[in-house]
Amino acid sequence: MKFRTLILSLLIAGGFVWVTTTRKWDPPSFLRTASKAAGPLWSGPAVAQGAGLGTDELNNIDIYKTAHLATVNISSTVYRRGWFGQIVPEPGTGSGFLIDGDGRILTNYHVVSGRAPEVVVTLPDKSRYKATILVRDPSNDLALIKIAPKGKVNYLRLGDSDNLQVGQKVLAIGNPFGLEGTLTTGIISSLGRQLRDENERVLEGMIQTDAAINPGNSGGPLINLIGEVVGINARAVFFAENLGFAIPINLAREVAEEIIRGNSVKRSWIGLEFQEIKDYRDYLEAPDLRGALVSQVEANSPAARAGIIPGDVIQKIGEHEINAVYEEDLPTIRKIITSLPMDEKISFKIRRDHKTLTLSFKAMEEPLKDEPELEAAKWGMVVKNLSWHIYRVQSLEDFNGVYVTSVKPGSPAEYSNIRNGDVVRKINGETVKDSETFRQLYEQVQGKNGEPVFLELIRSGYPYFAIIKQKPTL
Amino acid sequence: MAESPFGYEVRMKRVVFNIFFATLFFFAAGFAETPGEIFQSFRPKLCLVQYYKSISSQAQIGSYFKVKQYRIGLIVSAEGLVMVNSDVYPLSLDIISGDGGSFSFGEPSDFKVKLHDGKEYDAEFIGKDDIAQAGFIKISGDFPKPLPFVEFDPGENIEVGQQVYLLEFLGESYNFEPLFTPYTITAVVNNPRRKFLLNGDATALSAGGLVITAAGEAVGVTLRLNLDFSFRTPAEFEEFRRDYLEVAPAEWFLDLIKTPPVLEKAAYQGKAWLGIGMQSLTPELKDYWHVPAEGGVIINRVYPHSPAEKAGLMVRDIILTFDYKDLDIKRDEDLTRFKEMITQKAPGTPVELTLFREGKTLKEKVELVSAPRAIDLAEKYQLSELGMEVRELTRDILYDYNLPLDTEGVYVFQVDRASPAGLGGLEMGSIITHVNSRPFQDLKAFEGTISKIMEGSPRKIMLQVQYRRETRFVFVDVK
Repeated sequence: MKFRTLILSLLIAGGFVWVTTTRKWDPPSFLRTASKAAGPLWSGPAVAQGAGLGTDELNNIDIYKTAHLATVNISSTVYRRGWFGQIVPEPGTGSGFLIDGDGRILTNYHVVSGRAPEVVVTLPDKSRYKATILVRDPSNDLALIKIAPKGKVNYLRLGDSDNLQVGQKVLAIGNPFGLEGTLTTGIISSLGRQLRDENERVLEGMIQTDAAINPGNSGGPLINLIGEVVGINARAVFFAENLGFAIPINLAREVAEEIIRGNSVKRSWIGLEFQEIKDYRDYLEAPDLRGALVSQVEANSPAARAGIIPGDVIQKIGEHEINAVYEEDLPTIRKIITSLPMDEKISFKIRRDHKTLTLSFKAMEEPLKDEPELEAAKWGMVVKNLSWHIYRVQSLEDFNGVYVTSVKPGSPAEYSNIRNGDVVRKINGETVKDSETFRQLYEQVQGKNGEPVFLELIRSGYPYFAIIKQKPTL
Repeated sequence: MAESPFGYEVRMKRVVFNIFFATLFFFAAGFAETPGEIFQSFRPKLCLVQYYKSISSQAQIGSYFKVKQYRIGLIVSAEGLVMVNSDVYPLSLDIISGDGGSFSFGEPSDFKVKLHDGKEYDAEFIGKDDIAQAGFIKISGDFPKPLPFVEFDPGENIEVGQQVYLLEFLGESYNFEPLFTPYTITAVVNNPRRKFLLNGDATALSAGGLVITAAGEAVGVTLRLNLDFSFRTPAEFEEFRRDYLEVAPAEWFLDLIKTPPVLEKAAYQGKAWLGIGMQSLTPELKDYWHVPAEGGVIINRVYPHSPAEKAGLMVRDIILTFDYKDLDIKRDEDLTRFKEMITQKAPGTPVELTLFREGKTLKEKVELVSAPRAIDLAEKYQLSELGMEVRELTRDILYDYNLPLDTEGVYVFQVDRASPAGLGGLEMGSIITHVNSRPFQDLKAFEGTISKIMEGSPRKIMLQVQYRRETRFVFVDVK
């Protein structure tokens, strides 16, 4: 017995030594699965020699080896709020990936947000480029930037995110420090998820994955097992384990193509909020009822003017049948609404008190546009276009104004008792419509050295007056 | 005539003796009472107040945890009136005094007073004044009358550097033994009201402690510690590194002792109220608007249905004088001073204001009214089947939510965690405007509507709720 075991062990050990020292090990074809089909993308699994790796691992290594060459590091200045609410400009860093040989790079909006005067891209070969921003789409947390590469660059193929399956394996790649890339793996945990970010912005149709997503690989590609990009790593939920979100690549492609074609991102708005009708059906004991329950009608919105009231059940919008039995069905309705045409009347089929009626009205462009923050450096404050949250909290009656996102300690703004969340409505009596008019008015008063500037603000729903004394520039 | 048992000489001796002692006593009281004597003479005038604080339980509406609490009581009348810190009654009375909102507390109960001889008597809560931090309870039962009581001196001449004694109680572990400590007055501050600071540390029961001068005059009461540790700026953070005690001079509460506030919930009269939102006239704004005064109060909100609205005050008006007094207010921190000037008036008092409006100065008469009742004192209705307590909508809520005063509905004051209402997603602080699509005017109408619906034993009811400007529906499964 003992002798036979010894012989067997020696044979195995000898065979292993022979295989690993004398020949390049090529795994049998049945172990290679789809990776072989992708042919030229792969460097080949030579690295695996003798390391005792499984097929899965070999495949991951293959994908990483190619994909990390197209994954870049992006650094820019972002503003963060410090302990006392002061502004801290911080070098923001995140990832992005090349999508063509001309140097176009897809990433997250939040990676290049802030006023980001300079966005610097570092390729894996450590060459650095200044990038120009082509597209900023905060509502989808997307950005498209471009560099002018000196030589040939690696880029990634975009896949089809509509065909993703829950349970499918994915790889998240990032380049957090501009050096070597990082790889995390996981599966698709869920599709079509809705996520509310810190600015109360709702991101819809997100891919949920348990591949670890962190600030470093955010903006990087989420890749399927044949090496195609199916999503852009977006964000992780803090304090939750294994909960990461990615933006479907089809959405990114759509937005990028629209904008490259010269159309800016316009979202339609009618002023309605919805609730699923599951409980409402139970309450009415009408299990066959279809539609979505109107929970809120924004005052002065197209829907309010047309006479829609909370409690109405919307059953059809234009040609789209509406049915939201569960909360998960609501994003589809929002998407239908944001992409409604604005130049024609749309018919809404509504059920109200056991009767069916049809109201027709035009959608308008979403009045609150998400723009990057704007720093008024001489005043020591950063402002931003109004969000729906601020609009409601401050009981605003119209959409004019910008809100203060941070105030620098020791600045003229702090001295004037301006606080985060205040809405700037007027500067020297001139109405501030949005961050663009704020910028114009701010630049106008820069010409008048040292003259006090009179600001009319809204705080907790009521006016607050402030004078900013600018230091004369020398 | 029979001789008295004592001869004439003996009687004369007694008279002389008495005069001698009376004079001695007079001198001792006026000049040189020893600290020990001061302690001995004031000790019987303090009593230990024991009561149960009600902390609302989130498990079941209308139910409370009761927690035993102790306070220093000062006997202020021979008939058993006792002054304690107003925090024994944590509910807000009107929309301007109090800390506003006290969702986690109920009314205190089972007041007991322990006199210095160790005997205990029942007592009852009478009323409070949040601004003076003074609460009053009255000893009931058969206590020995008259009780020795503290007579306060207004303490107008208190100066920095003066020696005082603080008489208070130690905590439970020391069996509430009296603590008598000499301190020095370290500051006299005037903002927003005159008060003194002592170089002291807070002991277990220091709020409501008695401050006595070296001459044996009771001049003030220690205030409760400010335990609000929130701060916005580094400067405010510095403020919290305090190691002093605050003392309210007797002028804060002398009148209250003469006529103690009586809490009658149904007919509660709030403090005097003007009904404006305000900010201070900073030197920068004064220059910008060319205001002919050093300081003032800018009106930035006029509350609907308030004296200010009635008098036609407008947003952006600047108040320069109030009741013929200049308002020297240049920083927002000083606004408390103006608020105090208002609350010290009696409701119904007409007051003249000087206003600065669009470059012109004008005079306006305003009749102050008593502030509207706070939600804490509002009528309530408990629906235990659904696990919620609703209250009539009071103006503090409508003002806070920027809603019109004719808003119809009821206020959700409490929701039990695992109740049908809680599971349905009803949240505290929201306003119910419709039940099963039916609107209703007020709490009474809500009671009627909901009881009728509940009689039909429904499976589910639909509530339309509003929070500030957001509306939504809540479905409650009725078990």
